[in-house]
Amino acid sequence: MLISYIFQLLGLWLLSMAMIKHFRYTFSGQLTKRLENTFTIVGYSLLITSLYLTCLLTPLPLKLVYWVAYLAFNIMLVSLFNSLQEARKKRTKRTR
Amino acid sequence: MKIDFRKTMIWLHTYSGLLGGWLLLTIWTSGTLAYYNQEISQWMKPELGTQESAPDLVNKSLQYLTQHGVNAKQWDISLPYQRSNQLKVTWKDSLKRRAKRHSTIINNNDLTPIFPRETKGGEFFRQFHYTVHLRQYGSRYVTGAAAMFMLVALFSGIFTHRRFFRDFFTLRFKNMLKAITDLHAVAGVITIPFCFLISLSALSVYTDKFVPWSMEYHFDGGRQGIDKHITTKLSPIKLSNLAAVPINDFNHIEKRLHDIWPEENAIGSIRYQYPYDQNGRVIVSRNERFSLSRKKEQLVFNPHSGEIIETIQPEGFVRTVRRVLYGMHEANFASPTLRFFLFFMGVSSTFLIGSGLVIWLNKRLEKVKNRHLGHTVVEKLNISIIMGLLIAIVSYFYANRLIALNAVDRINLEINVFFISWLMVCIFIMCRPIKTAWKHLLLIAGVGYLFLPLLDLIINHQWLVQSLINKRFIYVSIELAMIIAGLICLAFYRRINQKANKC
Repeated sequence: MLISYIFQLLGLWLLSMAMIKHFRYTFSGQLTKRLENTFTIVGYSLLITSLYLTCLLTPLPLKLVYWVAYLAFNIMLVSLFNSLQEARKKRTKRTR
Repeated sequence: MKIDFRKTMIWLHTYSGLLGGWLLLTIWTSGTLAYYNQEISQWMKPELGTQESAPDLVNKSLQYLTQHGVNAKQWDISLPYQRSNQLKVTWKDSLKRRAKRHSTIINNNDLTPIFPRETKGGEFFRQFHYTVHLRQYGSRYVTGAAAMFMLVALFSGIFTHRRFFRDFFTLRFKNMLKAITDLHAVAGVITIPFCFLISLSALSVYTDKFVPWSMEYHFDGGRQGIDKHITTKLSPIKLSNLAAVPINDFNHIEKRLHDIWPEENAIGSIRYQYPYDQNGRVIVSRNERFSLSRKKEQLVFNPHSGEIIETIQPEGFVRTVRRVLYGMHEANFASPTLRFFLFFMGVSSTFLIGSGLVIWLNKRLEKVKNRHLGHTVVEKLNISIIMGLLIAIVSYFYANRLIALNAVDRINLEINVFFISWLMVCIFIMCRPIKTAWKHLLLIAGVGYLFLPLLDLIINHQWLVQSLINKRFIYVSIELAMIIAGLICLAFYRRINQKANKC
């Protein structure tokens, strides 16, 4: 379950990085089309893998409830992380 | 004129959210707290202590019941588990529903009775969230209407915030209103499955109340008639009228049980019917955390031979769906981790509703120069409900600690404090200018939540010490939650204060 959780978190983070507004606050380079596609494909793959790993566990209905609950929490976590990154980057820019 | 579908959806989302918002906020706040009803009850009864789980609890309970429940027709043993450390024994002089019950909470180790303070505990929040304290006045219809409002707001919200997938993972904390709007959107997305499930299951639980006509047409006696047809129950007991000595050793049944339910702490409760009759039987219910369904898994044993004499038959598909929805609504199956996540989603949903109400007002105030009566009413109601609830909850906890232990009708006194403090907040808002109301009430709530753990230390520091020594962290977790709630209130207070000073 822990591996599934980590995969889900990573997948969501990669999906958020496929958006230019989040990418620019985390990485210094440009978000190219190729990079965007890579982030999207890997992100979705990780999400699907995470779901697949959950499906291997029993009892399945209970584990699916866990997966959906984790999903909600992880989206919030990634959102908070991105906004902190943004705030940090802006602060650094201002001090320069 | 062509009707714009999206505009209609926006209108529907706005007004279903606004009109149902205050009621929904009340229901969801108390419902979210109800996820921890057992833990809150334990915190509100500190006399229970943090006793360590002792071995052989069933036999000890049987020993206690043999001494105290002489000639009783039914013995019940409710075992302690992860969420509650109460070992509760009950005996009844008759199997009739309204027969007098004698209940005692006993110490795990020395079997001495424990007398905790009289309180409704976390159960108050659970009951309040589906009755809104209007039990005799059609409460289920009120909460059912709220669930329908929620479903309407949820689906129309998907059309209203169609860009939310693009705005995913975006929170702008620079501006207060933008931050609230972003959090509203993110909370809206992450709680879609949760809100849908909770609203749908709430409606499914009371289907018989909302659409009774079909049942009344097809079955004699309506709801009771349908229950008779589709609910599986244990067969009624046939008495032998031959006296027997009740068993006081449960080990032979426990061994058999272990083969069927191999999990640790699989037993939730034990019922011993007619212990003094030779045909008496022992009904063992499985701990609810092993099933999504609310239907109890039960096995019936012959108390003397330890043989299984009956099992409860599985129910039909439709009944099972309802039971599973009900089970998922109550989440008795949830482990501490999942319970935390569900609580988190409950908080997010509550925030979603509250922020929606605040956004509605602020978006309109941005467009007008002079506010009219409607704006003032909405704002006052927003503050009354949001801050009123926060303060009423903390007041309820204070009442639990400060009302004398031997006070007459202590349970209702605590509940009265909850409602009186809420009323006082409403009066405060009526008398004070709106501009400062948020600020002052946030300060009161923040200080209130932060001072509560301190008050506990002053009253009896042993509660905290024992909890840490025995590694039973329920007490500590609730105290921590109070501190976090207090800090959040104070953070909002600081932010509003800074904004007011700038203006």
